[in-house]
Amino acid sequence: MNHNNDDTWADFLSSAAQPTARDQASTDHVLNALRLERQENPTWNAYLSSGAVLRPIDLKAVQPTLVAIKLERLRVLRLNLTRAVAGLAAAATVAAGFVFLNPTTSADANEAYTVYQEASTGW
Amino acid sequence: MVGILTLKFAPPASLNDLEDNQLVALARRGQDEAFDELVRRHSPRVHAVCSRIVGREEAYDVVQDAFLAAYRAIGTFRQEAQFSTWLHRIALNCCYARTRKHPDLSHDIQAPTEHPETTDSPLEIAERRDLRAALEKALAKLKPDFRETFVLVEFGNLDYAAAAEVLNIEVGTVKSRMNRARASLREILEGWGYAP
Repeated sequence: MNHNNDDTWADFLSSAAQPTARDQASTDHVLNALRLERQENPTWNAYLSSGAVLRPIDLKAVQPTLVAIKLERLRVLRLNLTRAVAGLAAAATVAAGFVFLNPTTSADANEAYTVYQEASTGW
Repeated sequence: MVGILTLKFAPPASLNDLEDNQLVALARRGQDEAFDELVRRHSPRVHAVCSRIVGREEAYDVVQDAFLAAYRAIGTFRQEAQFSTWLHRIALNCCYARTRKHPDLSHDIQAPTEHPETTDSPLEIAERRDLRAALEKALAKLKPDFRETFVLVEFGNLDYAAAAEVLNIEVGTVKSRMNRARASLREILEGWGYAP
């Protein structure tokens, strides 16, 4: 097998390995899913997308102790639980811990969102 | 002077003129249209990769999961890697999660029947469609490691360094897998009567 022939075959295979019309069609599928996602979870998604730390004012209605208790459930999300102490400022810090989460699975994201929702509404 | 005036009155760049890293920066600031542009730019390639790993029907869901995960995590993306590399890593993880749940998926890879949009003659299109179908069938016969590497490089359009990063292996291993994947594909396709 000589190198020229190898190169010819490499080019031959590359020419056949191109995205198809079906691959192109996945764009609309994804964009629709994103639209739904944004409609369903606007606050959560804006927060996750921003990568910003929640400000204390965002947590006015939160009961810090309950947040701390709920955050026990987030052990799986590798939250730093030493921050989970009472007090509004501390709660803001705890919530900021979400920033370090990287919910690459929908299960993680759903769990985090559930906690966020429950904490935000006073549980 | 003319240059200054031109700059002053130049229209703002549209999103599709921006580089990926600029779009990521906008998306991180909450501009959803910027993320949508990243979707339009990358989803065909990501789908092309995923459909050769989990099968074309499952690929729609896997690609959707991958982009939703990327959207949710864009704030934590530090741009130490290219966006496309990061995205393919997420997509591959979604593929793994799906095949763990449904182990028979990776055996369900079928040849697509359509072809890229082109201005070539009907004969050229027919020949390429035939070759594409054959390549899909041949890919399904490769060892998973070789197939993954080949589709990331050829369908995903990643260079060897990016593919190595996605697969968490050495660049030399990518080269070696590509050589062996091409050799295997060549052997299979020649056996079926195909030649460049």
